[in-house]
Amino acid sequence: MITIFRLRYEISFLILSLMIGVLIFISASGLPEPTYEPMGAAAFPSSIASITIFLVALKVFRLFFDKNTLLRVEKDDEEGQLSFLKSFCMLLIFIAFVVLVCFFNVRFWISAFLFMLLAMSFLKRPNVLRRFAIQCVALMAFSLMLDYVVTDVLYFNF
Amino acid sequence: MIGAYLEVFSLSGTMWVLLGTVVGILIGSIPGLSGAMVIALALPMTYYMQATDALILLVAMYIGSTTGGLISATLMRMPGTESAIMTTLDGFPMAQRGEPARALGLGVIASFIGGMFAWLVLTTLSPLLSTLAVRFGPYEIFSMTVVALTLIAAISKGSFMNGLLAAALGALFALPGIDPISGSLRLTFNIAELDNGFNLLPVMLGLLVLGQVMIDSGKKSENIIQKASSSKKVTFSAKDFKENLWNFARSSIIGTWIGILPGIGGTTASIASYSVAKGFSKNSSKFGSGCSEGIVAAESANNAGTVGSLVPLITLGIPGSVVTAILLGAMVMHNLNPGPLLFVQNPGVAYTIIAGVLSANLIMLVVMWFATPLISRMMYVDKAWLLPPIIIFCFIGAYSVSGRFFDVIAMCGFACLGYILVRAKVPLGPFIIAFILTPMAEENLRSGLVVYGSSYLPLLTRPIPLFFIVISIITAVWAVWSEIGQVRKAKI
Repeated sequence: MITIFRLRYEISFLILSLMIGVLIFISASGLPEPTYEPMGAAAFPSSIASITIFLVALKVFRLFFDKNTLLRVEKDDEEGQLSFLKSFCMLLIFIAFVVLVCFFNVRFWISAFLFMLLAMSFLKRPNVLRRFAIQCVALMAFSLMLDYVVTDVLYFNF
Repeated sequence: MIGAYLEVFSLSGTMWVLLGTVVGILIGSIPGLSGAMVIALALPMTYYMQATDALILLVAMYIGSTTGGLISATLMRMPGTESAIMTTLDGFPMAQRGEPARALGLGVIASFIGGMFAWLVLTTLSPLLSTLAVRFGPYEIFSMTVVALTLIAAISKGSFMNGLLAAALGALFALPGIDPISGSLRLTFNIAELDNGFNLLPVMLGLLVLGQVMIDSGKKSENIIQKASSSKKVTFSAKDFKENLWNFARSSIIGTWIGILPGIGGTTASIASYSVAKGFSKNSSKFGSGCSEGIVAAESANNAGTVGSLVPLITLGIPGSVVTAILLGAMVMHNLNPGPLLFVQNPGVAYTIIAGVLSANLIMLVVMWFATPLISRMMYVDKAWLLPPIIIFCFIGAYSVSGRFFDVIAMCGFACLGYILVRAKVPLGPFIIAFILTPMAEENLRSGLVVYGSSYLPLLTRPIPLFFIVISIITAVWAVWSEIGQVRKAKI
């Protein structure tokens, strides 16, 4: 049974698959003809892209023309919205961390500390000051240890 | 072979196996974290290790994580890993009625026996299969990859079409980069970083780890966790052993053979074994209410299936599950040549993996027997403490591949893709296995055409490719037929 919230992700998946299939198919058609072997570099990508497009078409047909497809709204609409937003925010926090490390060249231990503090607070709001202080100290120590591993053991150079 | 066993059972080898097993058990016992996640996270850390040490560490994590799921399944009614789902049916009720020690003891011994039986099969069957596999030519290998993809698409959760589509998408992402035959660049869209294609590690970290973290982050605070009384020890009686003697044997056999088939995995093995045990039992009505036979059937089969899935990996280079696909990736990263020639070119590696399985099973028994009460406390660690460090490790892992931020960006992209796939109930297994197998399939198909003078006929005239292609067709027809049957049932 398909719910409306699953449907939006299925449709996203189908659109993505179609876009990638079409992109690969068009790019593969521009590849040179085979010279030393019968198949060439374009055959496999073109075939798989064609199969992908065909499967997407089948799925779309099944999704929208199958009379037994039942669309029902999830009991709590807001919960579906909330879970996507929280996941997206988590990703944004991670991207902010990457931007801090890569583009603003903030020291790794500072970026990691800020990221973990923000992420943990976002996932579970701290409600006791003492516990929050202990959390900060633990995260600071962990970040410094990670910084040592990353710079002096793995020799990362951001 | 003896050298491999001596190396694994040496001090350093034992330390790696102990570390892998303990980490695997810890992660496997925490609901929401899987063996695939921890192995994918550990992969970049194994760059600086010797290939054999890396592989025994990862194999030990695999075995540990499968067994670790038993703890939360029994004490919290939440399987730590998917393959422990059937254990919850009888493990939790038994723990609830005041016998957690017995439930855990049954599970631990069953896991050990299942794992050891499968190790025996692995030890005896792998060299035999490898002598056959040496005769495989390009068309044989190509047809094998086709059957692996068809099986895993057919048997993965969700519809067959979703599985095929996931596999096709995984194949498309594997194609950009250097053409395997001509060596020229293709499908790079003028992005210099795509000259070598997408690296395996950012793809796995994004799909399996970061994508899952995104999903876990979006969950509301978890429902009230049901807890059974915890236990300070694990017990197992001679009476339980005598009552379940045939159950141990039968479940181990079922688990091993299902594990050997690519794409099926420990979960299906434990479900099949549980159903068979219920059918054979004199007390079938007691299944689901704390019956020892249920725990034994589920745990023997899932551990046997775990070890059994290493057979096609070592002998044929065909991964049968997401985790074995990651192990295959680990072999490639350490410049090993996984495939039918592994036993010929690197017999030490193959036998080291086999010896590592034995060592991991022995250490797993000891650790689970004595440390379960301690490990069980880990299950209650808040996700808010676990997820951010996991994300940091993903960043380190992705960046460590080539020191490029492109890999980190790719990981984020695949995390979004993984999020969409999971929310759309599309299985990830076919995607990852297709991503790994497509280059192998293309290279062998094109090589076969060169060898056989542009003819596809040997695919049908040679016995082994014909056998594999017939299996693929039967699997595809069966999967489509099942789906049509399900649609008709829904209409009624």
